[in-house]
Amino acid sequence: MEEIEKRKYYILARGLNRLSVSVGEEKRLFEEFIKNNPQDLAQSLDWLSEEVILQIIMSNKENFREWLLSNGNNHGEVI
Amino acid sequence: MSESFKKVFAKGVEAVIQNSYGQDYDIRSIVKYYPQLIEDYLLDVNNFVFFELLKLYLELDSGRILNEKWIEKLSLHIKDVNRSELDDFYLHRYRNFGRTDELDAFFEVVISFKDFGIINHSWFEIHDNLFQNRDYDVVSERWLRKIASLAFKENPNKAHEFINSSDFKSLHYKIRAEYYVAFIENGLLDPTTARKLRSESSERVAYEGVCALLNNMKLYDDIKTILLQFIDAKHSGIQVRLARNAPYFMLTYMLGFDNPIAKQILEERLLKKL
Repeated sequence: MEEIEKRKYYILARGLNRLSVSVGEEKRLFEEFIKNNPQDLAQSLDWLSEEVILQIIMSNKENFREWLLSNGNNHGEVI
Repeated sequence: MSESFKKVFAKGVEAVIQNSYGQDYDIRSIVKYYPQLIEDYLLDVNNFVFFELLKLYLELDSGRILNEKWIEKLSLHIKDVNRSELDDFYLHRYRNFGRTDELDAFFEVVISFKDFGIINHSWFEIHDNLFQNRDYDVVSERWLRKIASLAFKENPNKAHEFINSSDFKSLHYKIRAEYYVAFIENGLLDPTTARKLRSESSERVAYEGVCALLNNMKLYDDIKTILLQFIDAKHSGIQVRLARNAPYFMLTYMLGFDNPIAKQILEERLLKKL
């Protein structure tokens, strides 16, 4: 991944980390995002907090676990 | 780019800025090398983050010109605010700066606001908002001089009123010195004000004023009349400075100086016709 892309996804991950512990409108934004943007999530994964990963897994019980594992990402260990 | 991506990214920018006050390596790199990434999300970040980004943007490249995306965001929040809100903005921002670079970035933002017509206040109003009734310890001397200079240039009549007002006398001596320098650098010194400067209770103020005058003599058509106001100055620093830097045709007027160093310099210059 290019340097600029890395930075972009790092910032995105920081946004997701923050939104994951919010409520109301922001929480809905977070849920909508993890539902509709799997590619962006995959790119941001290395900077996501474990809490976010868990929430992602919880909201995508069937697919996300498989998806994480198939991507061989370290965060798969928290499942 | 989806709308939700934009919003989440803006949240990320907020998180990074709020946790690091612009010191985060990644956000600095983005603002410095890829500002367009940030510019796409400016409308979605909150005001605090926006101004931190703007400061960072200007700090990392002071020669930058704000493009329409920054202006659009600025306009949304600043253009129609009323006087008290603007005051709050200035005061709040100003008082919270502890570091020189933050202060510098802030003043650059203020000047950009004015240049781009986002602030419609005159320079004198901006000056009053920023500096009036402010304690000396929170005043940045360099920026005080800069803003005062812009105000004096914009309204010379008001500048004269200000310098000759009774309020002016009560200011801290270092602040008075900055005002005098700004005044003189704009070519505004007249014989009456020069006389007042000569009679300053603070040597530092009078000295700084004389130095500014000697450095800006080309701005004054009748420099002789103005310099003559200082001929009976008692402060030794002023005598020495005048003896060393006044034009040759003024030297004979200074023969009455009592400071030995000034006398010696005068003697040498007169002998060597320097």
